[in-house]
Amino acid sequence: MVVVAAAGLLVSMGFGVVALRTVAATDQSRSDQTTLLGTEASAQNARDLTEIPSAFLDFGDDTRGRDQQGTLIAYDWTNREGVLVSSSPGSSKVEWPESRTVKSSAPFRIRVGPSEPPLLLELRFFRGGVDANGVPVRAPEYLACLETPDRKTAPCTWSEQDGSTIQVFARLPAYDEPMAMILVAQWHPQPAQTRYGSPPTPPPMVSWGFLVDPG
Amino acid sequence: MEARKAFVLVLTILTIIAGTTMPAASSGGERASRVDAVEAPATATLRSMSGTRVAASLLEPLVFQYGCYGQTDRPHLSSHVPGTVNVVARTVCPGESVYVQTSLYRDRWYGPQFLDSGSNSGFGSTSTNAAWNCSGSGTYTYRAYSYHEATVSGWAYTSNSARLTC
Repeated sequence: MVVVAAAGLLVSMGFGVVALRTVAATDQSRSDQTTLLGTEASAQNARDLTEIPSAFLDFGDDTRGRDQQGTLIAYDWTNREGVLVSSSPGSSKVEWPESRTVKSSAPFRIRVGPSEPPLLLELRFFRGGVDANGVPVRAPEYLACLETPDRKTAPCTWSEQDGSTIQVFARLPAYDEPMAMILVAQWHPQPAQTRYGSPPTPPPMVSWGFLVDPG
Repeated sequence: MEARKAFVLVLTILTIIAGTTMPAASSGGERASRVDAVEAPATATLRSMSGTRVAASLLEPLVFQYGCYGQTDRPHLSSHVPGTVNVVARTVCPGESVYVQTSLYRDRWYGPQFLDSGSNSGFGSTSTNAAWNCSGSGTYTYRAYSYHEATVSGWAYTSNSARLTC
């Protein structure tokens, strides 16, 4: 396997290295835009978005069927063809799902899939919810998630289920006003997609938004 | 002949010592590697290149060449170009063709914001940088992720971060 990979590298070295600097971005240049890099960018758009994993929030068996699907807040995603699709909040309103009434400190689960195991999973809680533009009104409280099947190990844990779904377990903080929550996931680029001669692309990243209120 | 045996013995001992001093991220199994990746090392020994999935590759035995490593420096304010945050990453592997790619991010409320990336290749060692004009943008946490590869010895990921006021 190593010999094959090394041979592939030696062949691909002939194509040289191309540095893509056009994605260097400010908030303005990325505002409300889906930035595509690659040779078949626009035609790939619809399929690219379907490849981005979805995230569903639920609060246990008694609320099954009432899962809240997280809205895509931001993403850098490279599809199978190597085309990069990026989006981040800009000047227009950020879309959030319809708020759900959930008691304070309730345990919850977020299912992400289909997905390879991520290398970073992080929850961000924004007390006070979001403003009229959909932007959180306060700074977040961060909660890093650790990979372990034992939910008692850490305040936020995750594990792989069925080889294609990631389950994240955590508990809402105590709260008495609307609260926004974001799950941030980041993956390393696949080794097969990172080769001599390949332009550098950002590691895949997706963040999903959820809204809850204490009622 | 005796001198050659002695040389081989010394080389073997050095290899064993190198193996026992490897970073945890490179010596553990799948879970250890993923947990470490949350705070990926700034320096890492290169891994075997076999496998197509990151997760699968991390489970396989490591094949590395003594002296081969990847490294991401801490993002910093450039002294050469004021108002610019800059990060440098390198891949070192004597006697092999090497490649490095780094991506610079700024942490925002919605997650990491991609700013810039750079890549380079060479023989024996190579380095690259990613930079972004940050003047007047305030205080943020900047993080860089790098991918390192050598033709025979394998690959590694590293990262580093710093909170900077620009």
